[in-house]
Amino acid sequence: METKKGKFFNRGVHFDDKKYLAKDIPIEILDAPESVAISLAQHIGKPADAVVAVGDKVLQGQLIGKSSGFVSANVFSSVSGEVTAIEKKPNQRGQLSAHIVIKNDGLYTFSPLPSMPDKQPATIIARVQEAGIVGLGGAGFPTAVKLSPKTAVDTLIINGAECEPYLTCDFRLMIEKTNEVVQGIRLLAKALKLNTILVGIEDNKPEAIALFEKFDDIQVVVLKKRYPMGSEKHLIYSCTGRKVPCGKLPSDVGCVVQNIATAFAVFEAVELNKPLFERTLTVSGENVKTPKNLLVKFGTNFSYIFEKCSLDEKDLAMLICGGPMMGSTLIGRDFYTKKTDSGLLALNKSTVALSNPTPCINCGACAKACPMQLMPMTIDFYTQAGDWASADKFGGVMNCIECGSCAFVCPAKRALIQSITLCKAKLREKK
Amino acid sequence: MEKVFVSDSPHIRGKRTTKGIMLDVIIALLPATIMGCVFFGWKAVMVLCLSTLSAVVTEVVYSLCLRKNIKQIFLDFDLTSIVTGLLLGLIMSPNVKWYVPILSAVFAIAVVKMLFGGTGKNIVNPAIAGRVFAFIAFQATMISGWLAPNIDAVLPLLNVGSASITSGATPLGGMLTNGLSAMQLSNLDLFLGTGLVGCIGETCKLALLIGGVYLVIRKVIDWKYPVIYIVTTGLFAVFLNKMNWGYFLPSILSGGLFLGAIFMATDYVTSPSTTLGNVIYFLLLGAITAVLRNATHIEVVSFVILLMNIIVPLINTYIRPRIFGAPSFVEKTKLKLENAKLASKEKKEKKLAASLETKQAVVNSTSEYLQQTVAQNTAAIEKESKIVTPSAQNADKIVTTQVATNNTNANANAPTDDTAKKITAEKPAEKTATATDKKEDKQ
Repeated sequence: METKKGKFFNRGVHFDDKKYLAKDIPIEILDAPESVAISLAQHIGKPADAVVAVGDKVLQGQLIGKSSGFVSANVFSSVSGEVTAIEKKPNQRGQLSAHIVIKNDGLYTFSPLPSMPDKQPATIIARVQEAGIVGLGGAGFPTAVKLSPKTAVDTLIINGAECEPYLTCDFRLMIEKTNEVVQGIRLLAKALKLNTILVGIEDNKPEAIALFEKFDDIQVVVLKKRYPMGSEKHLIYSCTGRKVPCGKLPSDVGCVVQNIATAFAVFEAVELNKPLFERTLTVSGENVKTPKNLLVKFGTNFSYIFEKCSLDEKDLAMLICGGPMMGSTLIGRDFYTKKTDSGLLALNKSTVALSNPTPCINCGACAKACPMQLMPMTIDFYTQAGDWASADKFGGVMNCIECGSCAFVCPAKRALIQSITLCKAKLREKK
Repeated sequence: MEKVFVSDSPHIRGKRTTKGIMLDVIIALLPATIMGCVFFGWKAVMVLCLSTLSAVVTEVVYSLCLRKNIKQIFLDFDLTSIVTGLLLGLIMSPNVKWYVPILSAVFAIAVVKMLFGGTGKNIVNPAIAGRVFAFIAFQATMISGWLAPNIDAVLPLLNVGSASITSGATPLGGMLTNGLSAMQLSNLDLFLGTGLVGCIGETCKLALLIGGVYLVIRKVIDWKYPVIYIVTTGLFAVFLNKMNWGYFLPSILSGGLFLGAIFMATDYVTSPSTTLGNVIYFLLLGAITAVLRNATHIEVVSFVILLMNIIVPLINTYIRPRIFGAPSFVEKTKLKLENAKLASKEKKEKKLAASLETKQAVVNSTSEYLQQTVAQNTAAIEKESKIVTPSAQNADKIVTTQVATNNTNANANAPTDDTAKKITAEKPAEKTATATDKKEDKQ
């Protein structure tokens, strides 16, 4: 189908995307280390309940954590071997959660899910839920919940924007597994019972655009390179011209947004009966000697991954899990891969922001950059004063998507996102 | 433990810093500074040096008084005091006494800036406040005794034929008091500052324009805002002088308008932070400047900027961008109107339904009663002998019914049993029909 140009929003920020580091490197399968530690809280919502005990023999793809509520997801073993421990470990954000430690026997004996009787929408949704698929873009919201919207939807939007710098894993999936991804997209559309499929791709990925143009049932929307183009609300606006009203969900304007990696996972779950236990992940940054796109099994230790990509320890300033704009910094390397991790970055001192905040000079750069058209300096001002209610009234803090555009452009280097998250937490506490 | 930094997102930042912006402003001020020194000689250099130096020294001394250590003061030094001092010097007459720049710089930094909390916290532009302070405190030395520019030094370079040098009064003052004919200088002279008396930095508009263009290229200021200010002032001057377009160029090219519009009013701290807010701010600045110039016959740019600085918090509070996804003003009003329409429609429907109900009730009760009377009458007729003359009785009863119906119409909801009682057995259906018809007409 012919491509169309996406609507442009004159907000956000424009920067060097640094994707050239890992853009041309094919996806490589990374074998798991001797033991993996699989977290039971890899998604938004309730952690899964462990269904194996210490000493149990497990196969690759075997259920080890059972979904414990509506917003929760199953967790599967990524290797075959023996459960050696179930213990609490911190994730990179410092939250403690139960991890199931499995000793890898190196055989990867695969136990598939039972094959599906038919491919009716309800069956597909049931399979997506069974396979433990969550939004792999970063939020980790269970996909099955998203596939059963309460209001009528008419458009499925696939997020191929990948607007975070350095990250290229979705791009590699798009050009290496085009057919599989497209089949996954079709399955998602079938589950939602709709025909309009839009795939939004930023114009810095011409190869991916050329590949997706060939399919008749998929409309490619070429998006102008701009951060945060991959934000759900802005992607919907760019692709369809619809604006999601404040405090509403995309399904309220008839749209469902899914990630490229999620579509691929759906394909694998439905066609290959394979639950979600591995994902592609970009290892990049100036201090990584050999940047790679890896197919990593969940529970793989970060230090193992960094070792495989040979880290340059000289001038190493920051280790980041996720993208540099919205990801979180690591205090060490002893953490384990989860469903939502899309990248591991090692940046040097010249790249990262290490300056101290200076007083706000009211230049208004943050307000001009804010894609949600909020007033970050006002939010910061009231948050510093502890006046949470005014921060919402005059700054609109509750509409913030925490993309970091304001803090990126701030000449005074103020910690705006920190203020915003603090203010949001305080306001939620009040409710 | 690993030696890595931990920060809140985003982990990469833009290259621009406060210091960089201030450096850009200083660079943009250089052409005007140089031209001022060329025109007014060593006296101007002295004034500029004194104001800049005393501004920096005041800030450092104030910080020392706050018990900050010297290293911290050095790290915190963001060039803002240099900008303030330089601007303050540029808006002073080159002929002022030596203590005037020093005292006003001290006032500007210590009272206007540091007392309110330092960089970014001042509510009015420190340089403007310093000038106004000097203007009031040392009136004699500020507004009289202007120094004639030394144009012999630059005339061969510029190759411009100059008119007689007006010494003692600024051309703007002359124009405002005595009209356009009193203007002795050409617009080109006003633009280049040749033969023009005035403050050190404000005479050469070309140099100020070069600085402004540099700031626009460096994206420190938006080109729209100074243009709005200058054009609005010119248009208002034309408007106030009976649409005489001859006033347009002289009024925008004289006085401190260029310096004020490019460097003073665009100061981040004391101007609104949103685009719409800025447009309103600069439009108001232009209008008030022209009106006050016309009314007071003195240069008012600094006073107007001072005045408008004070209402910036108001603009910042009430003029905010519309949140992405929030309804626009038009949509909001449309929605309100639609809701009102729906509400009124509902009300009408409810009313209609209610009236229909009462009508139905009337019809029901009437027909019920009539059926009863019919039954009674037939029974009575059957019982008694047939002596009654039907025609005469009928005519009487029609009249009475009509009167009764009129009464019911007056109070629609009143029970209609009385009416019904008087309707005869002979023609029940017809009577009730007319009654309901009449009611409907009224409603």
